[in-house]
Amino acid sequence: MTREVRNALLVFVGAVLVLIVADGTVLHYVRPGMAPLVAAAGVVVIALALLDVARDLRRRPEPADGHDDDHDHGSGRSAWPLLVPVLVVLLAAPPSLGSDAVDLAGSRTVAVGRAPEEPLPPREAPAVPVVDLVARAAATPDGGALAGRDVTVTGFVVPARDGRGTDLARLVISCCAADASPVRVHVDDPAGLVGAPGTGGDRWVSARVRLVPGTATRGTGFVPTVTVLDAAEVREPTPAYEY
Amino acid sequence: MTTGVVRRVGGVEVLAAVLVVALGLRVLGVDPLVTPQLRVGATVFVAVVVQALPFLVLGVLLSGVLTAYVSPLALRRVLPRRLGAAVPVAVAAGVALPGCECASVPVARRLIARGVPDAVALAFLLAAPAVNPVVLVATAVAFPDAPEMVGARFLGSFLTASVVGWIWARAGRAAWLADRVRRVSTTGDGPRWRVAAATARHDLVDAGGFLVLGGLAAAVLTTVVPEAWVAGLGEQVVLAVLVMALLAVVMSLCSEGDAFVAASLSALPLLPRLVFLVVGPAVDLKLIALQAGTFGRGFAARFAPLTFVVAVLCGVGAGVLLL
Repeated sequence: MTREVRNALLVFVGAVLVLIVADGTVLHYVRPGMAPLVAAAGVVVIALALLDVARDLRRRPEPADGHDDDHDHGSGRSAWPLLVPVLVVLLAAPPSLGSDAVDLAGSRTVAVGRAPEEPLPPREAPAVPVVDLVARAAATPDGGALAGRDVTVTGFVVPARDGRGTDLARLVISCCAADASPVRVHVDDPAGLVGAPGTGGDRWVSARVRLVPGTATRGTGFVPTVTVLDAAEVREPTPAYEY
Repeated sequence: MTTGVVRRVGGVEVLAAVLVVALGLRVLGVDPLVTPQLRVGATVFVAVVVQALPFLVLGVLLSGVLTAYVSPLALRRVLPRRLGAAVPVAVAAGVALPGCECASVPVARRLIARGVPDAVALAFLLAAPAVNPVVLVATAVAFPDAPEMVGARFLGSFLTASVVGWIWARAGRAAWLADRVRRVSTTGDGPRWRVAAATARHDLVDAGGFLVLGGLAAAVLTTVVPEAWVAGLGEQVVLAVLVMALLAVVMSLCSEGDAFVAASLSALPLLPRLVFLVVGPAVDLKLIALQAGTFGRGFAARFAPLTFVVAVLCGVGAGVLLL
């Protein structure tokens, strides 16, 4: 690996880091709070490569590379693997995880227990993250703040775990997409407002629902049942994850 | 020269050609992610790399500064003379430095290059990502109903780093580390900031390529390992401990986030989940790859199994004591 190739590779890696932050796709992979760090890392990587390039340019008159830095040059290490993430991002632009990841996660669900303390917003049918709804429903048998309230939840449609009916699911990430855990609510939807799971891509639905008290128990794997009052298909939200 | 052929064709030309082909396929609308496993695997792979790179960059900047600005003499002065006492000091230093495991690998390498004994630097390497305040707070948030997990994790990881350090102090050989780790060839060349930059760039290339390979392995195995491994393990604690230890190695999660995954495996008792948290920051595929790239393959082949065994034992010990 020559210095020129190594520096070019580093510039590409840095550029990809900056680009995914600029176009927002970084949110497919990490939490929003990481985005500035990813961009900063990209800038540093580019700068490290350009410093070396600038030095080469200034030194051109000297034959070959001089006395120093042979350790920088002669290292047998190769940076070629760094091309792999660059190619994957350029070629495939991997999407946010969705129902595929829910299938692979099997029975794993987000741990319940960190129910938010604050009351629900007083608005009519406030939007509530699925992970909040599940935590609140599991914390109190009668549903607590959710009792008798309509709320709006947004998620993608997946088959229920026992195969009967459908669930609305979201993925919760704490660090990056590698630790994504699914969270879901089971929909009681006799009118079929939510519809079937998407084929060839996730179907995202925003639904106005009311909790059926006492359904988020150990027996149901802390998947509460909600009655659907209204539902509409929506675009995938940004970010697609909950935190 | 093995790179002779590549050099004649020209690495830059190869690089340009590959990128042009990739962009061409993109313009034609070719989507290579045709199966669910590929879609999930690609996202997980990019996520591991994108999450790790900022911390690796931070680590190589630190290692550059360490090489350019901190003299070996100053380091020797702050460390106790006796190896046995220096190991826990290094572990305690790790507590104070919140860093990802990716950041601590290049730093440990440059500590060794600056004359810090191998065992002490390796104890620091294991401690920094595992027992810092950020990780402990994340663990407390993830286990609101089991606050004893925080103390147990701290104890398990502290013991792991110390015991591995002590074992390495007694049985470790200097020759197991690649020669390049100790080579200090940039000193005395130009201004200090340029030495720092050269060191950082060099460490980034050494570790970065291997980080990518580790991320690939983690993505493939995470999507291929059946969830059935974990389901139905609730009653068999010994088996659960082993499976969770292996899962920690495979998943290669960062130490700030692994507590939430452990918490989500709610069908399991606390002990196997604690072992998951103690093993993960000490040894996983991404780390093994980083260490192979930084310290050499011969080192990784010895250090990874040693750390794995010690971490499992220390995790179980801490769990039996505190859970």
